[in-house]
Amino acid sequence: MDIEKIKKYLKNYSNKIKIMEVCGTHTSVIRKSGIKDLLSDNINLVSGPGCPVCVTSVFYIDKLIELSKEYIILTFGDMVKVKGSKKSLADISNKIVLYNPMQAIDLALQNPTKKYCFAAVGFETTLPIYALMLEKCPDNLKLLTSLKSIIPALEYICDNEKTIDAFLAPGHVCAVIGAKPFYSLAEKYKKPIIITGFSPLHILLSIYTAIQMFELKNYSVKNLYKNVVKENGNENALALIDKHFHIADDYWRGIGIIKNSAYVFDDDFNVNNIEDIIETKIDGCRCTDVILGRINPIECPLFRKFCTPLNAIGPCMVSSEGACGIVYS
Amino acid sequence: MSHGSGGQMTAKLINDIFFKHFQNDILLKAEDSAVLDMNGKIAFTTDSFVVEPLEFNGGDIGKLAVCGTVNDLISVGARPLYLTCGFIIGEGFSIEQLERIVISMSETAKEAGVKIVAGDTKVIETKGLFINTSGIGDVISSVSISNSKKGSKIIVTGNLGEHQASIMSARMGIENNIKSDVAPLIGLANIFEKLQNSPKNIDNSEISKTAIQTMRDITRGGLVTVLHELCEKSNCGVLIYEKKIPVCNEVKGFCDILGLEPIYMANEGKMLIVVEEKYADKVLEFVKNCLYCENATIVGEITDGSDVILKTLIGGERILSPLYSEGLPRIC
Repeated sequence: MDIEKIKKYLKNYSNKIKIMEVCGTHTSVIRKSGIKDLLSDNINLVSGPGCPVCVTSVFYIDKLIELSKEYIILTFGDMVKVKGSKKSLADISNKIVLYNPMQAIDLALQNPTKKYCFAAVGFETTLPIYALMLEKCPDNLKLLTSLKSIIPALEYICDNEKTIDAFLAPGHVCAVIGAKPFYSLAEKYKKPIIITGFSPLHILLSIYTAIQMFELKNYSVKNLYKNVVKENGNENALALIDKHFHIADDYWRGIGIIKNSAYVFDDDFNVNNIEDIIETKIDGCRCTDVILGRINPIECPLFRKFCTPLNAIGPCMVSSEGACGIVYS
Repeated sequence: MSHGSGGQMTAKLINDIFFKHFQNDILLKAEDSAVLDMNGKIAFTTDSFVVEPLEFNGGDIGKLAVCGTVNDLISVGARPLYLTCGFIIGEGFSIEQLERIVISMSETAKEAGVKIVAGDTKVIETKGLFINTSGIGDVISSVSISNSKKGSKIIVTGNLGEHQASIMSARMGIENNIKSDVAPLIGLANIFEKLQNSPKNIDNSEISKTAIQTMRDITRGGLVTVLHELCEKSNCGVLIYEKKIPVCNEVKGFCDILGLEPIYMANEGKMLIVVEEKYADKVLEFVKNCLYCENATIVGEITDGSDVILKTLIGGERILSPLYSEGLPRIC
């Protein structure tokens, strides 16, 4: 089918459908390429919990700030402005912003008398790199992890949010874990799941495919990113993850505890009792509703009026991958 | 610190490095102020440079300090003539590196046809090197950020994002061949002169002296930031086409990996030129013949709206908001 016919179909689609794009990068491409402009108003695209910064708990930030008294904190830029219970990493000076996790190892090796703590945050996409880091980690470099698994989060959403009709699965995560882990999800919850890449055309095609499958009640997984995503994923990467990490429960900002949703390792700094975490709710902030696909960012009363990238109240506004930050820009 | 004392060591530094490389009749008089012959309207600007790393693929802080001020003068329709430079040098800074940077400044100034006629040196306890340049130029043509009219075409003089990509690559330890685009766009000043003196193009049809309405150096904040300034000052909107935006493949790849957008990235040798619609193709032809401008292209037009709108490759429209923070690489 040619692209003009697909565009016409999507512009004139008359049934209501709600599709969640799980990955922040998808949200970003949708925004940047003006895809919403090409869709009928009946097609509602909502963002999911796929921005690692947005779901990292307040407790984790507090822990980093506490560790900064003893360790130089190494972090990605996105994490710097995320607020803990009182402060963010922007308020501490004992930190270095990195672009590449492997820079942490170089720093630690070059400065053996200094102690470093790396803020290892991410989904399965970044896990293989952290596993590689652990293989080479010198004694003066520790990791404080907040490493999350996407499948349990999608199960949580399917259990709790009944209005989502189809999912665009995160292509980068799928490249690591493969297409298979999504099969049971599609079947159990009766949702079409489309694995898709990141070009605007790719995403447009995946929206079209999701609608077609939804109309035909075809509740299965369609892999449109086959040149990158294999059935069983990247087996070398998975073996590396398996070697270094095991599964535990984890706390997701705005959601709460999701069973079996964390990757941790034995010497992990993150020795906390997640059962004890109580997050204070921020008045008016609806980041929880945004990452669960209940609302679009513009429906939040704080959006643009009080919450902006320069004065981010909720985590979805902080990150370049966060739904609110993307919609704002 | 003795190099900054004002005594003999300071004099030695000035003689051995600055006078040696910047030498010209006005500077070598070593007066407390340079005395300049100027006629008519002059353009006057200043800028400070604090880049890290000091030397990068395609240039260094010295070349940057000359080009930044030279291009600012050109963008108001002036021919750059004289620069001053202030050096703030961190204690212990390598004399060899300082000399390399001064030579680079001197060569760039020669290329741009400007004389460095006055300077100052201070040594401080903080590490690093900081340079301020101020510049004066003869105003040839009256272009202004407030002059853009509806329907006029927008020319960008070359590939976007190269300076920022080069600096970021150096900071992040990424190996690639991306060079900073830092360059003095002196050819564009020649175009003003050409239009002023004999407004003919190659096929002899006349181009109005006022064909060029606005010029703006596309530096920090990138093309989108300049377009927002333009919309505000000229009370207009802008429509640009994604497929027309000039970006080299390497920068494209670099941006894809890091989640950056070339239209928001810094340049140091690119100009935005707004031209009356009927002369747009002719002026583009002139521009493409200028050094560093061979990839110039028309990227869009001035509209009667108030937003900066991008027509995307896929056919959607996106409102481009101003840049509100530095582009930070994403986590995943």
